[in-house]
Amino acid sequence: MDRCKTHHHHIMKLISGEISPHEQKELQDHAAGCPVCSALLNTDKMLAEMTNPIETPAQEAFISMRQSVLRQIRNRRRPKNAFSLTEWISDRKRGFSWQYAVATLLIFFSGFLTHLFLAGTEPTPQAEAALVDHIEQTAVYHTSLEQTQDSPYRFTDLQVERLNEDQLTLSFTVSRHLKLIRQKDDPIISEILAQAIINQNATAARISFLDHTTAQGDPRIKEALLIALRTDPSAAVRLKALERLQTYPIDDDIRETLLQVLQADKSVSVRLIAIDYLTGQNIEKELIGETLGSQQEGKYAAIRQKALQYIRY
Amino acid sequence: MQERSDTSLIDDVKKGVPEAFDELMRRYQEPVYRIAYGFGRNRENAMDLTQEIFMKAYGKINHLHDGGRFLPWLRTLAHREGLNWIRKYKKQYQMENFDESIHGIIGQEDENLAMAHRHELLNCLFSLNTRYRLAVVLRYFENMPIREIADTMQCSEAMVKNLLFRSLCRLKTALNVKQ
Repeated sequence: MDRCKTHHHHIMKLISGEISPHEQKELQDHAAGCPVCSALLNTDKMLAEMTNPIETPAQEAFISMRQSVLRQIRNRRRPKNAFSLTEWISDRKRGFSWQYAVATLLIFFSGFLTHLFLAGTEPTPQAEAALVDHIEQTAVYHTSLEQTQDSPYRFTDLQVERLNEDQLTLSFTVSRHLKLIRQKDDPIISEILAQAIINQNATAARISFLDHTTAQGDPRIKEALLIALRTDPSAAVRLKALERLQTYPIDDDIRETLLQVLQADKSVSVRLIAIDYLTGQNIEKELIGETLGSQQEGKYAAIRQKALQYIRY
Repeated sequence: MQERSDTSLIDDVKKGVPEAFDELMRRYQEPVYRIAYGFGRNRENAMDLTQEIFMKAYGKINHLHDGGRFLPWLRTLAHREGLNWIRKYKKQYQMENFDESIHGIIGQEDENLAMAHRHELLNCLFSLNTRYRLAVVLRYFENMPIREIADTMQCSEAMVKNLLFRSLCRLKTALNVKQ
């Protein structure tokens, strides 16, 4: 048995590939007369000769797994920094130290001051360079149109000019898809909706954005509503803008726009509602009369009739 | 185009380019899957675990300072995640059998007696304790040196040798009992 113990040590060396030829010969000689060591060597031999029994799945399964990981990654932020404050704090071995506590507070306070200082400023050239750098790095990995379409960046308003034989100048707007949850009266909501109302292409989308404009008194939204009312090609959007505008107290800008609409809007419905709105706001009857008086008789009879009704009363 | 190094890809991942991580996953999906299989014991579990390992790797990649050692680092992480995974699904894990596909592959040539023995050997291997099984898989099927196995399993080289020897003893005993 003691001899077996020595040879077990040799078997360990054999498994780890550290056995010398002399030890191997000794082991083989011993195994010839020892059923235990012989069975161990046989098992080792069987394992060593066996091809990997773990069949790797088809590439499609791996691709789908990788896509799933990437989707989750894109929904997350960047990888955590090497120094993790939560991990540092949760390290039970480290005792409480006032120096660390004060240093942490100072870091938070300086961060807060920086945030206040930067709030409302334009993106710095460094931030712009970092954005271009990131777009370039993303582009390097895209080898198919599908990947390009999956890119988090969207490029619009593209203008291309040839600079010289080898180079082009590109001028474009880049946007990145984000998802936010905010209170209805959050300034960012007004900021985004005000832009979307006058820039979005789809009529249904513009109507839906107008529906969400609840931030009363917000000058950005009011201005966007006035622009939509004056310039939007869709009568449905103009009607919706007019409806939302009625939640605002009338002022010179609104009155002027409404009179313009009354005089020039192509849609009879929009003009009828504009009259309703104006009459509800005690606008001088003469002003409405004058506005309509400049129009050709016989055209837009419904509008004239409604206006006359109001003027008579 | 020349293939980019792991270090350069990892730098890109740290800068927030997920596509670089996709390339890293493509390179190392198979070794990670095989380690995951050692824990999961069937394809579905192994694939789920592989996904969890890569997610964890992405979250912790900033802790990796030497990009050249990405694979050993990933293997260690896979091993740790595998152990967590077993703890998490302990009950379910005890109920599950290992993948029938292994029986299937071997069954095709079952007429051969040696093949039947190998079939038995695999049966025994996949019923071994996780640490023993992993040591055998890494040494015999992944051909990893003892030092790397020790790194992956976060134990000493002596412990790995011991695990391998004890695995061999258990496999031998199980085979004898079955035969």
